[in-house]
Amino acid sequence: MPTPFQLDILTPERSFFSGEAQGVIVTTPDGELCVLAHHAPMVTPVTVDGETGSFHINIDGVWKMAFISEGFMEVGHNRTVIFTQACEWPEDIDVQRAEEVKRRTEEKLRQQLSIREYRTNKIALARAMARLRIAHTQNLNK
Amino acid sequence: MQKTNEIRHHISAVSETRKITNAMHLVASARAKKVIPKMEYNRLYMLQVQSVMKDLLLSPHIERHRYIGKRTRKHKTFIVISGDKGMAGSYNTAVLTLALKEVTKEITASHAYHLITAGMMGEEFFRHRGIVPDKQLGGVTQDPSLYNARQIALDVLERYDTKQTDQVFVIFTPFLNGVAGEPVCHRILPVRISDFREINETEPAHEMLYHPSESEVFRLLVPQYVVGYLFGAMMNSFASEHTSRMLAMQSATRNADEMLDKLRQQYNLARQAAVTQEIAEITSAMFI
Repeated sequence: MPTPFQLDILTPERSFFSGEAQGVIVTTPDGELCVLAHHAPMVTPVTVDGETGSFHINIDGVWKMAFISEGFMEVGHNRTVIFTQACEWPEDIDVQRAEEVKRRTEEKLRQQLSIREYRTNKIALARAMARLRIAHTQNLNK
Repeated sequence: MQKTNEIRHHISAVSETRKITNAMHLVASARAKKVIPKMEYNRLYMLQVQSVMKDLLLSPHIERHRYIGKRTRKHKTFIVISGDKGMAGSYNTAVLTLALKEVTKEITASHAYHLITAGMMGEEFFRHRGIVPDKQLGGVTQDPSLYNARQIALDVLERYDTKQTDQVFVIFTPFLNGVAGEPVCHRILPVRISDFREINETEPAHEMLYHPSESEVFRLLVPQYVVGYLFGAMMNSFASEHTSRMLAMQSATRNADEMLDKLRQQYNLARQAAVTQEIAEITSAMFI
């Protein structure tokens, strides 16, 4: 089994995860990135990609999937901290709300918008789609 | 008889009011309790964000970023966080007096400014003094959620990015050791290294790898910092408001109790006096 390291996932509302993990995969602006123990110190943004992006944590040899919003990952000497606006296990995802957000943002994106509104809606849509995809994958595995 | 009736009426009015103040006390303490544990998580989150920001600010690569540099023009944006309702002791007055002082400074120097009021009390307060807030957000302070914090943050960041404003201040009431503290006016943009004096650096900066680059990480980090800060300010204000209200209502309830005691005593005296008088009247009538 790979060497474990300390992983903390913080959000402004709660501490999502704090404990030992063997690996973590996040989506960064230029692709997926896997961090194992003894990784060089690094800071990188974490992004949300509605289509393909994923977030996995390896706890005791089992890869678990979760939803993560935009944030940052700070890799230190054997302690990795991810801080993000929101983080949810698949079973905690509010599918109804995500569907609602998806429908609303898609509708808004069809209209003429200012650049800011376009960007905000685009991000909201990506988040909703990522939530739905993760909740869906979880249901298939059951 | 007249007097006892009056007192009885007074007693029932006071005990009705006491019921209301007592209920408000309970509601306020429940609300305050709901938000206090969340504040600790936000504090940890903000410490992390701030320590990464400090590392970045110490690195030589991002000296001239738009979120750091001083601008020659000093257009200020104020975000004033107050409550939607009164009955919270000096909570609203204290924070709004500070806000008014800051805004008056800008007016006397005839500088343009942008005023955002979160909470109905703030809006009323400024309108009453002939200052119309540029943006009013009623109701957001009753629900200190990340969503609301993000909406405000996006708005001010856009104004800052498009150079419509040069400094962003948030005026709120910090929650210290279980009670509402002195209101503060804190600058959130531009960011200065002196803001992070008390924050520890995480790692020796030269060892750190920034992916894809320092300036890119910083550009994405600042909005998170602003959202986190506003969320924290909103929760602090919320906890302060409700503890202030709790204390105010507690003392109101206590006053009502004291008043009821006195009134009951008076009532009994008056009743006794009436009875005595009646007996006296009857006995004296017997001899006629």
